[in-house]
Amino acid sequence: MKFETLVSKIDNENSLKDIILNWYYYSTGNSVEKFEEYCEFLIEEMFSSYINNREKINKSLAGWVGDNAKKMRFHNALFLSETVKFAVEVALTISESNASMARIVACPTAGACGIIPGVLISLNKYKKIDKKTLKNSFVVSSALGELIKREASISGAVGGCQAEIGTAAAMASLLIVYSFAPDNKRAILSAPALTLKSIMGLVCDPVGGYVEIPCVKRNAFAVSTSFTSAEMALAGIESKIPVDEVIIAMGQVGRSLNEELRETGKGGIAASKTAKKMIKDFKDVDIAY
Amino acid sequence: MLYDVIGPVMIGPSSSHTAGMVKLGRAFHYIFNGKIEEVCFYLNEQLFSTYKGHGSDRALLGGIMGINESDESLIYSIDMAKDKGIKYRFICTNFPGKHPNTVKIVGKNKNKTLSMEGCSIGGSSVIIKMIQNQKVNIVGIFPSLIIKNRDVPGALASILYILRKNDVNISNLSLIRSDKIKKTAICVIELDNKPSSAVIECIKKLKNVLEISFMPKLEVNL
Repeated sequence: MKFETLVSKIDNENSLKDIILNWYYYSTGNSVEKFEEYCEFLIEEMFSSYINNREKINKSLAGWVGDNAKKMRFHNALFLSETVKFAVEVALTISESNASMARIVACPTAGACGIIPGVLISLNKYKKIDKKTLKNSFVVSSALGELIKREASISGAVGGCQAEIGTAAAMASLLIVYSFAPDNKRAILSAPALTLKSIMGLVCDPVGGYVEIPCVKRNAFAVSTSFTSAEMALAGIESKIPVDEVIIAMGQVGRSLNEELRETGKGGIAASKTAKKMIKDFKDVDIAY
Repeated sequence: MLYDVIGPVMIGPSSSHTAGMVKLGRAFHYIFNGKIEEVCFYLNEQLFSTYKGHGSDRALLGGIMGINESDESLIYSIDMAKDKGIKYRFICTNFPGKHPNTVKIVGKNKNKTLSMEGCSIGGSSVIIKMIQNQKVNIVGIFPSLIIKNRDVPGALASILYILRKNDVNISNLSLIRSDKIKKTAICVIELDNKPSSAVIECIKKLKNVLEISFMPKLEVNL
């Protein structure tokens, strides 16, 4: 299945969400209502994940992250709009919570768990998008994630960081566009393509193999990328390369990455002098909670 | 489809090294079906290298106490295990040719010892590969009965008769001889729906059934 094929079926009677649920039903025979309920449940979990962890000091397992979200919260934005700034804060909160064994929603993975909640919660708070609309957009973005999983990968160990953070950011940019313009086929196709192109080739290089450095901050960056792509797509800027071809390219790039750059903690910034020292210091202390 | 890219709700930081490990621990909890006094976790080298930073130790210990992967008390599982007097060890092991995220759990109390080997294969999906050193293949998406039975004619037929009589449908079934001298076998029956405790009791009373444990679906969110 191509994403473009699904989008091409949008007409006056069928929204993209309905088309996707139909596709899901005819592929699996599973209940569509149950799936929608599951989406609602996950969105509620994302909201509570942010609310419950916001005030906690999230010291991570390795102790390398935990105070970034707070710094962002008490900072008055100089450049970002309140929507984007808040989304960045939510993304940092949730991914720092993940690093400290709090409850999160993996979406598509635990390493990229901050991005979609960042966008969802911020759209709800500052753009007054209700939860039902958010759920419909979330259903739509899950189909994009499914196609990326099939044609490329959503695992850092297989396709690098682009497969995790990139996929989440592409889903998030689609979610933003669909919440505002569910009939704008061009923008719906362009936003995820633009996002994936901007993250093409991003390697997975976690220091020590832990989901902390650079994962937490990349969640924040991905949020701003998804807003930028959505804004560009809604301005009418098109991706010259169709989204389905971008996904295939992303899969090929991922498979051609050296193994050191695929979640082994042996390449990229994980191989830097400072990273090696941090790992050595960490191994010498037993973690106490 | 679709469910693989959104969710699960879980305790971080890693779906395969944290959530998957809770599930393997929980599978052990159900199959052991009793109070665990001592437990040893043999972690494959790659898994061992990050087990503290990914909370795999808390995940496995929490799992064997029956905690699920979205339960926030997981973070305190080491203290909880100590309070319960469970003796535990984590040992770095080499499992050549096996999945990088392979773990073998050996637990015991005064009456029994159980060993189980499984791996976390990505996302939070798991496969149980061995029980008491016998090959099995349990993915935990069905409620399952794990039965140790006598290796004699009619043993399986008597079990299936009870399931049939109680209208329980089987989705997958395997039966493997575990000890030729002691004449025992391990039978794994994956079911479409959860059997009542009366059905399990009935099977337990069969003369050719030596032990039975029931493992509910490991996917708690679906």
